[in-house]
Amino acid sequence: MTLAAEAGNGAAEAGDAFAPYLQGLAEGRLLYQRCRQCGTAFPAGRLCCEACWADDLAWEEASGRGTLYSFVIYHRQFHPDHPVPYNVAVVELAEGLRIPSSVRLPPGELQVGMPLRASIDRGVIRFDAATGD
Amino acid sequence: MSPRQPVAAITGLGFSELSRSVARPARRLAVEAVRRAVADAGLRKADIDGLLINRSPVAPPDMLDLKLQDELGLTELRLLNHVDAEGSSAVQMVQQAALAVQAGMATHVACVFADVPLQPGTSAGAAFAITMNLFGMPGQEAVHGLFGAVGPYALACRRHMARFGTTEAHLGAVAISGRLWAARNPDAFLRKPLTLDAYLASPWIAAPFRLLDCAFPVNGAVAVVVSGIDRLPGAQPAVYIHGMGQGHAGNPNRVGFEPEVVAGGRIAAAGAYRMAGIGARQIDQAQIYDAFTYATLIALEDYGFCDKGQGGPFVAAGTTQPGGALPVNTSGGQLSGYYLQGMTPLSEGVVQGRGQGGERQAKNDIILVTGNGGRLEYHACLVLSPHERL
Repeated sequence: MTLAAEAGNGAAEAGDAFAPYLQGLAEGRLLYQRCRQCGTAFPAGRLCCEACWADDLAWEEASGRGTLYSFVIYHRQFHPDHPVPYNVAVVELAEGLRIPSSVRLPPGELQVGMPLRASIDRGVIRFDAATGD
Repeated sequence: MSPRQPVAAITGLGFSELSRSVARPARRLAVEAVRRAVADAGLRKADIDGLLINRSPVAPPDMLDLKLQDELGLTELRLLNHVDAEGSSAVQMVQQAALAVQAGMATHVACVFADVPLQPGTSAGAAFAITMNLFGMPGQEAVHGLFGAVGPYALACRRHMARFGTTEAHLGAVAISGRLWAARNPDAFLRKPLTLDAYLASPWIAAPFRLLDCAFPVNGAVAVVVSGIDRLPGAQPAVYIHGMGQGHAGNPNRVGFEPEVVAGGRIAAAGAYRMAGIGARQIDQAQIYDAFTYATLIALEDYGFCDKGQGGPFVAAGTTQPGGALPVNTSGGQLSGYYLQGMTPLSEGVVQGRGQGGERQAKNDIILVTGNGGRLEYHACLVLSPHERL
């Protein structure tokens, strides 16, 4: 397990690299990083391309389309801000990267592989079932 | 089989008191474990010229710092360090000690882990209730409520279930297999027989994981002594180290990678098996880091005992339990025996290697011991044997 959450996540150092993502969310945009050299897309906050080590990274806006890669339903409460039960989802965006989020559906309707659509709710990315797209 | 000499041997094993309720300082427990391991080896304080320390990554760093050396009054060390590779650390300590004694940098190295996760007034869950960095997106795990190790492992398990049809009954089979072994271990903490119904009735923690999918933490310390093969003290049967490997596949969160279902154990296995001159087929028993039932399933696949995706059926068929073809976690593992991170499988590998397993003793000619850390990112393993030549 990893000491994390507060500054221990490397947030202080990664903060500059990650700030545009949070800024994007505040503006209602879901951003990610893509390497201009090799085209690989990966979650925001990396200091160089994960695939080819290039520094030439671009910020792009995601389409909002994705599929449910995996999910967990918490039943034991860990934090007062997150009353149980609730789900945490890993969503694979159409652009090829995966991000943590949640799905606004009851647990029984969650299925790995289902299509999803993003929305930004007070600066937090959440997903709904995609309908017919 | 390999004509090679073993790298080194494990010659001492010592435990502090293990407790669910008593919380003494980790340093105190570590001193106890080291003294007992050294005495167990038939060695004296003056014989110890190496000290490696593994502290829990979720504990404050100064809880078990290098000053442990001075608590032990060791003034002639030729090897001293922390080994900080999460749950793979216990095995990595033994690997580093083995390399040092093989190279002649040291002769007898004490390797110790101590942790006191259960403090008065804190629940066991709270001890591990922080976030793991899975995405490199600072703070995003906390924003979405992905707390502890249980959630990240549950995400991995759910992916395996979707990809391969692994079921809750398969997870239950892992828990039941460990409990069957624990019933034969007087030192195991959970020995009551476990049925599938009882497993399915245990409370949800983070679905698909129930309480009985999660390890059983205790407060305590465990130490081993690693010695050069030309300096065996002889007080205990030596447990020879024939193979060592590590595997770290990272956690890429993008298409083309599925770190949740194929992890670094396969890399660690390849290295250790090649060094020992064996294949998975030659292994008689496996002591697997089983912090969660799913960790056992994926390890059985990645270490080559069954095909990818078949870990569940492999266990459900009874293969890993007493009487099965591949005994796994013969002390009850971390799920039913006791959880002190990597020391759980390592200590049992030594007990079994010495033939001291009593009612739970299994065929021990070639033993696999694994370590697994983070959310499956960090793996290390040993191939052990009571035989000097395989």
